[in-house]
Amino acid sequence: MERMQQIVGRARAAFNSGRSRPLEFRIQQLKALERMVQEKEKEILAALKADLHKSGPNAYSHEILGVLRELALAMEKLPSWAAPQPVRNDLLTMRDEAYIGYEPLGVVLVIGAWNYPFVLVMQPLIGAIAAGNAVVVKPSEVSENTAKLVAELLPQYLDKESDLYAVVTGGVPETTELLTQRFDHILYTGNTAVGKIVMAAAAKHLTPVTLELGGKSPCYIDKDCDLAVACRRITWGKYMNCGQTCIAPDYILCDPSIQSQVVENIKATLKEFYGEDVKSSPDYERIINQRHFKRVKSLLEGQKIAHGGETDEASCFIAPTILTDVSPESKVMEEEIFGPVLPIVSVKSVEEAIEFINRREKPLALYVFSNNKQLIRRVISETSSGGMTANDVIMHCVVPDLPFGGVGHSGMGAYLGRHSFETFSHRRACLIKDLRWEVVHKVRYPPGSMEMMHL
Amino acid sequence: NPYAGLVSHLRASWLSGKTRPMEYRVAQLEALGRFLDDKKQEILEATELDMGKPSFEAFFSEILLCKNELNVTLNNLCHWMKDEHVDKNLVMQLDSAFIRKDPYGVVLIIAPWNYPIQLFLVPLIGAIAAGNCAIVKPSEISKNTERLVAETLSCYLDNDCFAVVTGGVPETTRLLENKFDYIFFTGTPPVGRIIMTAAAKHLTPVTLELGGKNPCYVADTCDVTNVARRVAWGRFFNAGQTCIAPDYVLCTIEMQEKLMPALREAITEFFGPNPRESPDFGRIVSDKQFQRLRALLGSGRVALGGQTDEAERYIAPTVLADVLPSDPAMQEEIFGPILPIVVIANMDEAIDFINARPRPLALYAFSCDSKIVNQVLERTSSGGFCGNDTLMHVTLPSLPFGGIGNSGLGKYHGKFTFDTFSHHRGCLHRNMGLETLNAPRYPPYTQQKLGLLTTAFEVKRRGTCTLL
Repeated sequence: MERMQQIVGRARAAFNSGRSRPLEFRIQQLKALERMVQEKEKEILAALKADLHKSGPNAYSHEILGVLRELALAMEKLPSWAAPQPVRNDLLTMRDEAYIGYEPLGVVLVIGAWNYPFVLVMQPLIGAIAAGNAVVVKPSEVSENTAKLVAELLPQYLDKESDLYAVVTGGVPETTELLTQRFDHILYTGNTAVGKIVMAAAAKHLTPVTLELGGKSPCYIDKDCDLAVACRRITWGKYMNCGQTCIAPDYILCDPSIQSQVVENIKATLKEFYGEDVKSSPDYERIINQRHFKRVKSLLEGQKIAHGGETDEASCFIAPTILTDVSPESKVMEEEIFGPVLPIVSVKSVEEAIEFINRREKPLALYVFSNNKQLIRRVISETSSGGMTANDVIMHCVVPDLPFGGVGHSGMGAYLGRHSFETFSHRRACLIKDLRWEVVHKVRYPPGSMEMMHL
Repeated sequence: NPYAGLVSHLRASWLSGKTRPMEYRVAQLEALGRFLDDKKQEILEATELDMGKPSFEAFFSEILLCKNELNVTLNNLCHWMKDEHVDKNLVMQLDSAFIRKDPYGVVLIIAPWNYPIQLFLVPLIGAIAAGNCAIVKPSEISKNTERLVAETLSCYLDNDCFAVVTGGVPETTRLLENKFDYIFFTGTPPVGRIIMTAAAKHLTPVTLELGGKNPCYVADTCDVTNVARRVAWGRFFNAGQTCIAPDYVLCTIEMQEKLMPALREAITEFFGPNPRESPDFGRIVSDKQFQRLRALLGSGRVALGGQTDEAERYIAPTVLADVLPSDPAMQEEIFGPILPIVVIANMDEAIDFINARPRPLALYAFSCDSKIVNQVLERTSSGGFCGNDTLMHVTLPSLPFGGIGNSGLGKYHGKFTFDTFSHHRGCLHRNMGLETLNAPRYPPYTQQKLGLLTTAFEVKRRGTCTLL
């Protein structure tokens, strides 16, 4: 308890000194992070390989590229993001200066997740630093190699002369302790159950939160679409990182008449991607640990396996698997799969699909494949989700100006790009008046009269 | 769960989609406008009964400001509802990338008693504009206004989508057991914590408009007469029962000397020699609040006012001089017509004093020297800030209104209310063709593919930052 109190206390004192406010300082830190990523690329890729069996080019494109992009964007745009925003005056304030000032919040807590352990700690960190805050980072202990590396590297590169930035490692007990401290914003990436715990802890201090959670992201395939292309894109998004992606298409909804075509197309794509023997492909990852391996494996029980299904506990390997004719009440349709298992649920129409989706918790992502623009527009308008992509998967989170976040059980708040800057800033309303021109103010002072009111 | 039926009824209406079309939202908003017009007299009467609200004030804060928000919303709704298209990179030129404003669903608005119409109506305007269904829970303390709202609002709004729930703490607690898609609360920090804790059980996002002690720094270089008027106006409006009222003054002992006669003059100008007889000065809302405030009069020394009348719940416009940080008046948000003056040596001491305390909802600084005003602004943190005046920053719909830290989270007014009640959904509508452009991202992964991906997706620095 004392250790956490000290870490946060020191970060707060460092923040109160004003050190992290000047734009030059913030950009210096961002540049240092850029150097860190460039200089320590090998070590970062090695940690990702050890944690998730990720290959070099794969890890680079999914984790490092995104971080470098976010850094470049922040360094480029910071002056314009941080500039005070003048607003429209009205008659009463015509002579005055009215604007919105962007100010840091104070001490921010970033809690990372294990599935993209580097980028999910770095991207929020970048936003928090850009906004001028002190930051405490808590990487996930489940991806232990990356956690260890982050704990080693950040203090080497970020401001050594102050206590502004700290990394706290550990598991549930340490995180629980950390959450008793007061922060000025908490960004948590993880699951819904823990999201509730984080928000309840934040409520004690009235700390605003950004919760990046999850859920079952539906993927509707319309009969009218290029199935080969659709299935290739879906296969890519579903099986990347061995299905352990919060915005992976969790399950497919489609007409029973195209189910077998969908299966055939996905099978063909899987061969294209991973070869005949998936297990020996350097590009196919593993389940993070035994616990999740067992969890995902149990979802296969009683299901019709159209493809895959092979598992190897020793290496936490689960083959890319497709389940057909899945019942909406089965276990695999209850929780977020977070694994390389793709259930196909039959629906007879887009109305049925929309109804199916709306009966469940709002997902983090939603996907629809169709050549029919009207149909796509309809699906977007009649459902809700954190974000969505039509005719592809995943990609909405790489558009720099789109906010990345959930809604309902999939989360609250958003970040990435300028949305990070806004999440981690306080927008302060400022009205600067003149002490003269008192005559203008007389209309509002008592004694009042109805004539005055109608002015 | 006594409210489960009501909430599920509203949720069913929500799922039917009827609140989404712009025409529907406009119709409901226009109905709110008619409510304000038709019930103007009743509103003025109810608020007068509740807290002796002067008609002039009630018209300004409960009718005029609400109509402004309504008109800003109606004038801009079409624009606000539109998808916001965003910049795309090279690879996505044929795609459509935009932010869609989705309603949340069924929202809950909990309002306090001090501006009992405004503080439910302005959030409701945003909730309706954003396409939600809503339950409004007005304060039971302003009971005449509560009754008015409960009895008449339903005559104006679609009862399938909007409802008013009345009651006190037990009823609100039961109401909070239900799942809402957004909760908007205006009230005190302790209750704010309770609301957020309840919201956490359902992962319901919240806006909390809370309070605190709003400092008011008066520099030595200033026009004392105008300062006194503006500070007195802000402090004594609604008999001090305003979340953004200047809570206490920080100034030097010399300025305290100068301010006192100026404040006396302003009070007399506003309320006459006996404010108790002025129709322009309000009353305290309840006996409980009255007792609480009366106890604060022992802080420092009463330099102006200090008279009270329990039967009328009247507390005179009062200024306390030489108040110490340890005095009762400096331990809690005053929320009454009492203005303590705390003496400090200079601006630096004032800033340190402010920064040693929880971040307030509003912060005020008065000086003829704009550098001083800017220093106070830059070296402190608060929800909002007004230089050389009080209260006025919240009357501009283009400025966000909200707190920070203990004074709240989230913001509203104008477009910010609409944004508060909408989920900003990132949408990408891609082309089914041009599949070759996607090839670099697929396994088997190679360095060559990586090179192509990097080129396609990287953000290039345009040049060195001019700051360095």
